[in-house]
Amino acid sequence: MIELREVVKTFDGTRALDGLSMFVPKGSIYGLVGPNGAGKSTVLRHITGVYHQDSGQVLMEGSPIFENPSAKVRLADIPDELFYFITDSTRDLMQFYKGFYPRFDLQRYEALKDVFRTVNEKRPIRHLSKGMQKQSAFWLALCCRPDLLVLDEPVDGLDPVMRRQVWSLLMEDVAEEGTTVLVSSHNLRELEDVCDHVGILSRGRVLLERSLSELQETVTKFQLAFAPGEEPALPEGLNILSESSLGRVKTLIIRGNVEEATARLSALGPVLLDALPLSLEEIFIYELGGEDYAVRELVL
Amino acid sequence: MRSANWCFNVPFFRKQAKRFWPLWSLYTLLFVMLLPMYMLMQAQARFLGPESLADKFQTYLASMATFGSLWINLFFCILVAMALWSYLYNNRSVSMIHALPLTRGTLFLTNYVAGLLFSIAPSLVVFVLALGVEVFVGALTIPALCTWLLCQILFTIFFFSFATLLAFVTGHILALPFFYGIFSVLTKGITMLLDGVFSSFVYGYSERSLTALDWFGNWLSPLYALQLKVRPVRPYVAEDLVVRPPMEVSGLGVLAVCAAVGLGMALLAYLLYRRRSLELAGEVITVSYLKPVFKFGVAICSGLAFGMMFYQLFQQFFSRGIWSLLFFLLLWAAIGYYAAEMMLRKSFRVFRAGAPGLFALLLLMTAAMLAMEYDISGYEKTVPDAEKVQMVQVLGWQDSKLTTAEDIGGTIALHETLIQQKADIERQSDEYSRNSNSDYYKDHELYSIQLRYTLQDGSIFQRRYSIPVSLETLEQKDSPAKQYDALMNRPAVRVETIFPATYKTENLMEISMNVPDYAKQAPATSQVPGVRFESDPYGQDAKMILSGEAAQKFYAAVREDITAGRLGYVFLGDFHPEFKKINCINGIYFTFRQDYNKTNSVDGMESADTRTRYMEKQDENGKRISYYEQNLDLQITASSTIAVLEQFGLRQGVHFMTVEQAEKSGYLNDPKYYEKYGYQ
Repeated sequence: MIELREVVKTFDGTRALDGLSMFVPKGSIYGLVGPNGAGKSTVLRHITGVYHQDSGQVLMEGSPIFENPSAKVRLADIPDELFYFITDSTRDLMQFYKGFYPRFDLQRYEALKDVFRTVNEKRPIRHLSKGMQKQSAFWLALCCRPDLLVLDEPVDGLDPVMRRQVWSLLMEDVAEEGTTVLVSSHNLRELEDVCDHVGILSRGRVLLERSLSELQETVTKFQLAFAPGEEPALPEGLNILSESSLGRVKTLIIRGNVEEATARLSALGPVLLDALPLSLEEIFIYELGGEDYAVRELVL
Repeated sequence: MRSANWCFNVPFFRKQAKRFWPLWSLYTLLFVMLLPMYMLMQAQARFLGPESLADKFQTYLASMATFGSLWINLFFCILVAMALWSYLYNNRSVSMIHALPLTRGTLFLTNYVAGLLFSIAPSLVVFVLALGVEVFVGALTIPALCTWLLCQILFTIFFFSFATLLAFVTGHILALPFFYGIFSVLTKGITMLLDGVFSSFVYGYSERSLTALDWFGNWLSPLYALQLKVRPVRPYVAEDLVVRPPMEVSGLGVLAVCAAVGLGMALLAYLLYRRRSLELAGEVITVSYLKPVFKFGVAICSGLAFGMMFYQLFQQFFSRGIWSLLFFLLLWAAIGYYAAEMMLRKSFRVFRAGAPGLFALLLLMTAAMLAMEYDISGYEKTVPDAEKVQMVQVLGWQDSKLTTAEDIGGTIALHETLIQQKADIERQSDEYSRNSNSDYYKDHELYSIQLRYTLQDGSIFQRRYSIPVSLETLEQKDSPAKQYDALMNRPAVRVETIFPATYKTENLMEISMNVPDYAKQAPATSQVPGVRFESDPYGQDAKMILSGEAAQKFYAAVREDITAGRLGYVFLGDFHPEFKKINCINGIYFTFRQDYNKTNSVDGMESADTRTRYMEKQDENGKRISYYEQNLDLQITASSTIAVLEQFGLRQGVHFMTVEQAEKSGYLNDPKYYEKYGYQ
């Protein structure tokens, strides 16, 4: 659906995107994660056609997005910081967007009134709370019936019930309409629940990009303990991302095939050996640990 | 598909029109009040016939089409530009608008057309309403109304395009009106500042003498150029001297060119938009190659403007001269430079990083000032070759146009003396301007003269100098004062200066001369036809007024005396020992009727002879006439003139007298003299 190839973007001499490449499969919910300043919002602004890359390509199904209304008309976005015309209500904006998006669904707009019932559609948006403004944005974006929905910190400001409601609507669109959702968020626990693909950004590049299940299979947490007085050397060739000890229990984060790693560790004769799947948050932290992301030790 | 309109987007246009309705509504209301409503009120309030009303409407529409449209559109267009392009200056709005399925071209064209229509559509409405009013009151002026509409459209195109171009140069909404205001008069301001610096430090520099600089100042400051060129005028009517034709608008061609330039600016703005990096919202300058221009431009302008201002302010504490100016110039250039650097970098920590650029700039400015001081170009020492001079105008206290080889040679000799005695003249000028002793000014004068040579190839060469005049300098054989005195008092020069060729004898209307007020006692003294006296009930003098043959006779005598060197002698300073002995207290005023001609009708500031200032008055039938005046002091040596005066019944010592005689008789000292002693 969306492909970025070797994209470079420089701001005032600083490379915000440094040859970034990524691919968002059609019908996926793609989570874009990364530390602050990694370039997530910059990536999203390229995908929505706001920024123009210095070099590289930003494509939607093979066509460039920048200055391409036929591609842009298929996407809707909800940025982290919303903009609305100062006197406009949700209804005014509906009238506005209706003129741009040929698939704008008025029936859905009416139907979603019930979901977003706390939002007074005739009240100027500037008078709504932050959460209500976000609801209004979702309401309008969903009515555009986009093929691609680009979300930057989408549920920030929403209460837990509304979060669930919104995710449910999104999942429904993905399942029924084949909508692709690209979402950038720091709430990794939430992303873990909804995303099927994840891309981790660091310093303007995609560090790794896989389906969530692949990712979780690739990196495993092992806990092992040896009999007192025994502590054999760990086998060579294991890609150990992290190693720590608490008493006699040693914790290893290993990237690679889980069966192979289990077999090799078992050969050492531990009295305890457990292989545990990693959460997305843990993967994020351990992967970025290799990138000298200093918070790693503090978290551990 | 609604969004498929690739070049113009109706929903976006509708949104912009709806968002900013107060702006264009206010504009409409303003012009409805200024045109149809005002015209209706004028028709109701004045009981004029349709023709007079139409004339009033035409005159009013001409001024509205020029000054009215110029100033209102100047302000309105920047407000519209700020409103319509405001989405470019905020990261949130940038992201929202540019994520819409529109190209930048569509956004630009939609907004640009919206901006033009915000002014043009209301103008059309006002045009129709004003036409309705004219039909209603029966005073149709369709050409004047069309001219007004045309001016409205052309001014809108120019000013909105100008604002649009600047909108794409900056990324900050507050910088936009600032740049707009500055660039409207920037080059004129720079020219004036440079003129100020050059006048102070380039010996002989004459303001506006550098044609390229003058052109740069006049034409690249749109507000100045348009105000100067687009103005209401009276059209040329060859024979009609009394009935004023209605006003028309001149400079429509200039305005059309400006509008065309405006369209070019709009195209340039679009090209900038296509390449604009939207992440630069909030930056003062968004075009990278203009950043150094901005930085050094601010530094130079700051140096020139504030440097000159503080130099003038502190000159009583510092010695006048290049070094104190250089100090203030460099100080303020540095302040301007760092201010610009701070704006560009959005940081106060700019001193170290900006130092190399500043150093280079200050070095360059110092070099330029030194080059000026030491006359590297040879400007100060250049004198035109006499053979190449077609004519020279000596402009100053009295303006003369000299064409003979002898006069041109005399002017060049004076010019060379002024150059040779530079140091002495500068010292005396400085002393004159700083001296605080009031007695000093009783016998010292400082004349400023401009020598304007027209060369054989038509080009102009001009210089301006100060000439210190005192009893001492007037007696020195080779002093500039003595040379100037000799040049200006050549009889041929005096005739040409007092009565230039453009003053036609047949246009002489009347001559008046002030005389001591004996008319109170003998109001009908003269029996000579064409001579009458008018007393001034409030003043000391009365007037002798000559007309017809009497005026012609007197005028011929005056010319004869001037030609013979007996009248019209100019004393440089009334402290001249001969002044009181020769000059009389009687001023003579010659009034000439002014012919309408194309030159003076197109632009009131220009005339065939720059020395002439025209005035208007009503004749006995209540109709307006144009005229100009020349005045001259009677001199006791003017034998022919005095003979004519005596024929008219005036007597020396009574009706005309020298300043010395008047002082001795007490006339000049005691206004009540004649009440006490009478005239005998």
